Amino acid sequence: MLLSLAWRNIWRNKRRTLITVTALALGVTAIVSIHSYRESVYSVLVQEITAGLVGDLQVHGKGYQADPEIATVVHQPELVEATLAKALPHSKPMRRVVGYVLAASGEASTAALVVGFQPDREQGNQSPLTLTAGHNLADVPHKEAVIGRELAQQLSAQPGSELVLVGQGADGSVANDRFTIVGVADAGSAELNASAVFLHVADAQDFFALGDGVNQIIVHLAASEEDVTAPETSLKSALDLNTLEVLSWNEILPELRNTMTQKRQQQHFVDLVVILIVGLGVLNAMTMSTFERTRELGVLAALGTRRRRLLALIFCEALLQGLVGCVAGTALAAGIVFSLGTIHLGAMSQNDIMGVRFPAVVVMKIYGTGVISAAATAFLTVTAGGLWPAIRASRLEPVEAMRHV
Amino acid sequence: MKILSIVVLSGTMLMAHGPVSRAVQTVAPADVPACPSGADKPNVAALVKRTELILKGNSSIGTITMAIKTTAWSRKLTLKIWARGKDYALVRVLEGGPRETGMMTLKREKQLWNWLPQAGRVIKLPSGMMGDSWMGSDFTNDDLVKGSSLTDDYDSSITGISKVDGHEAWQVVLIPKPNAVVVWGRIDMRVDRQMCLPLDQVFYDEDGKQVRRMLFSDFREVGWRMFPAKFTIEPRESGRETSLTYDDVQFDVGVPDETFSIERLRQGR
Amino acid sequence: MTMLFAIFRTAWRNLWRNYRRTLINMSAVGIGLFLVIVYNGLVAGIMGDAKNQLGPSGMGHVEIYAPEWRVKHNASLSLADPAALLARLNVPEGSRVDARIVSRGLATTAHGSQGVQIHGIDPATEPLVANYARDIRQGAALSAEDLHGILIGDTLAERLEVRLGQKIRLMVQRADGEMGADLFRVRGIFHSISPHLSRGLVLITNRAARELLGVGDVAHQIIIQLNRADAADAVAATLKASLGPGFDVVTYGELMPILKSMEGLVNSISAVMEIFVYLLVGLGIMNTMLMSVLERTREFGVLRALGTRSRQIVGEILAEAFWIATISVLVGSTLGLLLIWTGSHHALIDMSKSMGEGMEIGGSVLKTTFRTEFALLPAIQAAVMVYVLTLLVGLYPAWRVTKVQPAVALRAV
Repeated sequence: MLLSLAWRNIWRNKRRTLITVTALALGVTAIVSIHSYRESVYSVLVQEITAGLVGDLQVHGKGYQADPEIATVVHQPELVEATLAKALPHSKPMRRVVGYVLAASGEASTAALVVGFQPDREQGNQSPLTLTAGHNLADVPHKEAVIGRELAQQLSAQPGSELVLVGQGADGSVANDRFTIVGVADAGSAELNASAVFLHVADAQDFFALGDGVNQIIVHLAASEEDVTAPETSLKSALDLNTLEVLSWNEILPELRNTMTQKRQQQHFVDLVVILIVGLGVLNAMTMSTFERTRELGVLAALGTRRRRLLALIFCEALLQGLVGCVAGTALAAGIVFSLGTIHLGAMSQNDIMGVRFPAVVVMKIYGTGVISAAATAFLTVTAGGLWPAIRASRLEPVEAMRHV
Repeated sequence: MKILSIVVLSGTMLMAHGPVSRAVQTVAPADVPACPSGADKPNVAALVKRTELILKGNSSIGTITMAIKTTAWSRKLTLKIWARGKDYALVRVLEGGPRETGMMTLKREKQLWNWLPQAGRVIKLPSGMMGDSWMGSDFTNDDLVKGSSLTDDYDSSITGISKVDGHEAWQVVLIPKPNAVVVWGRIDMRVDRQMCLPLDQVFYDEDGKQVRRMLFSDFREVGWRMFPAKFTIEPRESGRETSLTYDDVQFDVGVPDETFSIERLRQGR
Repeated sequence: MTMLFAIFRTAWRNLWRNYRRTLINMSAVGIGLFLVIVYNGLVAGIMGDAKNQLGPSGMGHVEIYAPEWRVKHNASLSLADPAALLARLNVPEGSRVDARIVSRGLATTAHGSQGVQIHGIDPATEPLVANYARDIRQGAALSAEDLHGILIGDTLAERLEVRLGQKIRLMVQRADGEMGADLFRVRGIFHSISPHLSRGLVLITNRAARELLGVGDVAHQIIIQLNRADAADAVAATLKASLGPGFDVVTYGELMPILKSMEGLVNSISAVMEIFVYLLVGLGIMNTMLMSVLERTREFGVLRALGTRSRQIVGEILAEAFWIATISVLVGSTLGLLLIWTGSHHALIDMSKSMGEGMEIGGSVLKTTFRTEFALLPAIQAAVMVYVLTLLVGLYPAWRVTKVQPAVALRAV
């Protein structure tokens, strides 16, 4: 009953309501849009991380993350992959070998990092590298190599050049061999571009005398989520943790995770600013409105309406306006987001943030969390803005009020 | 720590690449101080100089077995070493793993080159890789290259006499001179009184913490000198050990310049 | 003239007849302005503090190298006579310049070795461009003649298990291709908010570096830090022209494109924020002014009936708007400026607890405590905007008043 009265009241004075609602809507739009932008970027970023070099989860020989020695391997990777297939169906495993070497081509030589991977399993946008010259490694091991952009420059090498690698094998022997450079690539981060040598995983295993072992098994989950705790736990319970360790991308890239968390908290600050601005507008409008209706409210009071009901009435009006504002704002934000569609970040994607490449294309979506955040803000705002006028209204002396112009 | 340098720099008259002439010295050359076995507190500087000269010599050619033990694996390599002075040395792997046999490391003054048989080419080692282990052993590339000398770079003193395995030995303490380019804080060396040869050397950092230990054993007569045919390194990391055992060695041979040429290295010879 | 004066005086009195409403109105405008000023100050402090933006990483807004050095890193690719070069650099007043010898090398102690970046510095100018050269936690800075002193990062000291006064050996590839090595003693241990630098950078005097690398009086890197980041492109262009070929002149935008991108992003976001705030503030003003006018419909009706010209009434309403604008702007901007002035001395937002001291992005480092930048110009711009907005918004209610028929107005409640 109160609600319908409140509803009718607010539409009695269209102009005033419209202004309040518009202010709220704008606030909500701002929050939802910025939120969508941020979350869209993050989701793409997370996808890049998990689709690229890091994966959703990783399995290593025990102790590898703390002390990445070439000799610390996952033995019998086929068995581990079989267990993986059972514990996390539809997930995709990729084998990796990682080790430091001296790379030489022509007269130049420099320290480099070998990354042995499986070309057949890591294709397309799952590939850790984007070719800028030549072609990718063959599916079968062929003593071929793809090197990072900056490394190619430093060694003055290009597709067709010979590459000699020297390192230390897991058995202590001196690893040395010749490879043919078939491609030059962008490996996704400034560091890797200056030092990465990509080999077929089998070639890398031979080179480092690892036998059948690999240093890392990268796991790509079927559905890429930011929170991988559940799959991580299932995998941990399925594997022998005495010889193996399981880590999520969060644990492997903690700084990136922190950055995202911090930026989200920053968002709250922005929300606060919006609350203040919008709240003021609402307070303004509602105070005015209560003023304007002093006489009318006085009459209501004289007719016997309890103070509490008056308070509730004003408050309801505030809430309803908040609701309308919210809906309108969300609709507007949705409009903006969908019309923006896909954003091209262009220049920014040439860079990496803490070792992970910035996404080039961001598909904008509305995020439930954004709407909730905005709604909460709207609620707070109308409460703040409507409370004082409501209290004032309830305190009116009916006789004085009726004499008000 | 130039253990390998000490090892390589000793020799007799066997030439690797030229006509063979056998003239084995049986008397110590004049510039080597005599062995002051009698003295309880001999002239330390002379003693240290003697130990160095005996272990070094002007040039040498030797065949060595290097054994490396870790908790995960053990390896044996047979090496042949040619050396001259403290600036030139060539190491060739006669027998080792399939990829290493035929490998050669050439030292020219402060530079190192590797000949890689599998790759079929020579690589010069950049400064950044000097800290890396040589052939998987407890020596670093740096150890091969460094030319520090106990006589020139350290001030020595004798702090007493102790018994090691029935031998009597002087306890010598070596403190680096202020401008010497050595990273150690101190070296403790025990020198056998009879032979005037080191039994062990312990290397400490500037805080007095032990970092490495080198043991000398298996003493034999080679020409006029007594020589430890086995050198063992015990790094701080437990469970690891590298030892070099001389199967044969000749001192003060003439080793031709050609042996240490890069062009020759490139040909893999 | 007296007419004008009368209008303003009347407007003033009208406002204060309903003081509550006036106050609310003014505070809406004032706070809106206050927030805009503070937000701008914060953003400027975070991103644009050009003076100290590159301090944590020791990089320059403009840097100069010998051609090819950035690709080959060869010690022989150097710039001759750096002192003369620095002297003839055509840079704006107040910029800070610095020359360095740069090389990669191996640092060895009794406990191991680590690949490091070696900077041969001028102890007088280096602290001006690099924060870590000032933040020496143990020991002291280098003196210019020190041929064997070295400053290392705290993380490196831990890794190599070396303390103040102890030895470090540096090994490098000299200009002639040979290996060079020398012994140094740790004179001081510095701290950088960049973990990368704390772990991998060592500082020696440029004299010591020359001996180590076997080069003469040269430099590999010239660093120029400006007071205004946006001047970088212009300065680089001027330098390229005046120095001629034989010099590789780059801006921080080319070296670290991500910083520029972030700047652009933040600028566009704050532009949107401003528009947004103005919209809201404008709406608020519109609302209250409208109401204040409509409330007095009867009153205006009376005035009109008595013969007052529409023009005068409009003038009066605009004058009210003027007063509201003036007072709010005065109060709002004073408070805003006060806050950002305080904020420029004490960090307004501190994220260092959760983020660590420095955040590494694309090769550079951003601080995680945020100060505001105190600048009058943006505040004045904002104030003017709000002023104009208020006056403009006042036009609509004023116009409405003129539309009302006196007879109708008189009958209104």
